[in-house]
Amino acid sequence: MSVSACCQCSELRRGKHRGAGILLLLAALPCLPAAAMEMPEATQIHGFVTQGLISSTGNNFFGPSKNGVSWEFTELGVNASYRPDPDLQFSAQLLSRRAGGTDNGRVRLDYGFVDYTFSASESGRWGVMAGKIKNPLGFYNTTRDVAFTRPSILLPQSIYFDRARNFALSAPGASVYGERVGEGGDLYLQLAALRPQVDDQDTKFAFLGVDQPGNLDGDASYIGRLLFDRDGGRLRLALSAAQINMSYRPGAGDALSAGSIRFEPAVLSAQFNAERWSLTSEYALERVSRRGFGAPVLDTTNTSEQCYVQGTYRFAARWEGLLRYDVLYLDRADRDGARYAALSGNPAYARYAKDWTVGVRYDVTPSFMLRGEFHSVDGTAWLPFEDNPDPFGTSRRWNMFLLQGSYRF
Amino acid sequence: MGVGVRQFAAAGRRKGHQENNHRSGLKERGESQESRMALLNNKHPFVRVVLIYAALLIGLGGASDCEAVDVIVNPSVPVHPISRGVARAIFGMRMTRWPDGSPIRVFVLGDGDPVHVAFCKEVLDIYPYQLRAAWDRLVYSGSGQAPTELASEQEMLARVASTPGAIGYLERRLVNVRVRLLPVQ
Repeated sequence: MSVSACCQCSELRRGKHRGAGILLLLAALPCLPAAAMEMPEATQIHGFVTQGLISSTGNNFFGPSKNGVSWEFTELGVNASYRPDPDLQFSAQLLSRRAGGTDNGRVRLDYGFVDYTFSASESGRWGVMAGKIKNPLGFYNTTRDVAFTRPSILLPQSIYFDRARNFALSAPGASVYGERVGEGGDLYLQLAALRPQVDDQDTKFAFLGVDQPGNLDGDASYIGRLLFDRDGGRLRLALSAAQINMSYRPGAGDALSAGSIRFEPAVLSAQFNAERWSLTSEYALERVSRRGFGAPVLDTTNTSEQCYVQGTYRFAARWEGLLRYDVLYLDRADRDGARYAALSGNPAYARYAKDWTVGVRYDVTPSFMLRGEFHSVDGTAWLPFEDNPDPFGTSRRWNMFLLQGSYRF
Repeated sequence: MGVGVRQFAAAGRRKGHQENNHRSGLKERGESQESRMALLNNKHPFVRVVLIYAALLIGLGGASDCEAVDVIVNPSVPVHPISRGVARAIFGMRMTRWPDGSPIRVFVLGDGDPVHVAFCKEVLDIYPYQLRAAWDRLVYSGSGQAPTELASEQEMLARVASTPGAIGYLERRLVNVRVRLLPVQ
């Protein structure tokens, strides 16, 4: 944030209205200049606008990108935080995301919660959050729709699956967190109980396949992350795990019974940050167990495996290059998809994806950046269903070129 | 390569006027730099070149064209030396109260400002992009707020001097009685 306009703006607004609520600020938002804003001390407003262009061969990604150009990748967000007291913060973010057939740009509440620090000292703090909170999974999940916080235009799709993501994004719940500042490094722990939002088509597709008439409901679920920062973040290590529970409510004339689904991801994350370069890797296993559907094909347990290794290099002021290898196996017991193909008749390559990515980022100003990125992919395991409805109309080997501009305040 | 040479030169210059607080900011890396400098002075020119390149490659190089940078606070803040870990927590926007309970107000300069770069590297021993990433994670997940960014050191001096609970940083030659130095150990 903070273009110089912001500082002038804060000077103008530095008044006696510190108590003015977040709602008033949100209501006043359209009247404010588009530049970055800093309100009276206790309140901040930030946001981002991101537009991508996608062109691909073989398959569509986020709209009609195959042998053409899709503009259907837009991310808009605005957030406000209000801190009436150093220990108390109210935060909310509205998000609109358009991503081909998978997201239509509908404005939704990305998060909205109250954060209370009940114990703080020089050696750390403990606090609680309640409301709709972001799920702390891996390094990037909590800010995955903010281009400036991503290492690339698309996050590694193995772990940060964009074709079905709502159940992993944010959810109503409560969380307790602890931070410890120590000589050897800092420790962060966050534990949350939540009720996942799973009533969308994507989630149903991902767990039950297409054309099921019933609906999914979120049940009590749990997520936790332990993060270790050494030397102020030179080395960062994290372990995240979750148990997401949902149950199926059969529709009229449904062949399926009222089954239940348990999704259990575990992510191991590591990052090393030097002055010019950063090396990041995450490895995940995700187990999906389905029970009680009365359908042998569905009532199974399956574990997927995903991993990426990513290097970024800041080769000149305001320039950054990226190289990444990202791999996903939807069933680690059937990595090449042969068994799946024999059982279902669908292409085996729908069960894996190996993605080489090279990219470049240029920061035009501190708050405006441009990115370009090229993907060479073998497999379609994370290809969006909605953009490619016919499994036989897809290509095993495909390429994708993306451009993106992002502004933040 | 120029960057690496300046870095070593700067490390040498600083040796002359190190105070407890600033010295500590350099502690670990400063000492290792000194031993590296000794190595540089004693060996064959070829070894020097190789070492400088090696230092550049592993990212030790840092162009700081400014004087030593100190942490400053508003006179309302009781001055007790703080650890580097606490300084990182304060400037990382994770610590929001002074020990007496009063709110901390954090002021910084822009990411590319040489004084900010020097502050990050020498006092906090991190890189500016890491601090920016930490603020972004807080701001865009709703779990914290960003510091107030100022345009110049003059503004830094004025705002820290006039804001109760304020903390910032300044080149030592600009520090005056309107603010206090906060030693970081």
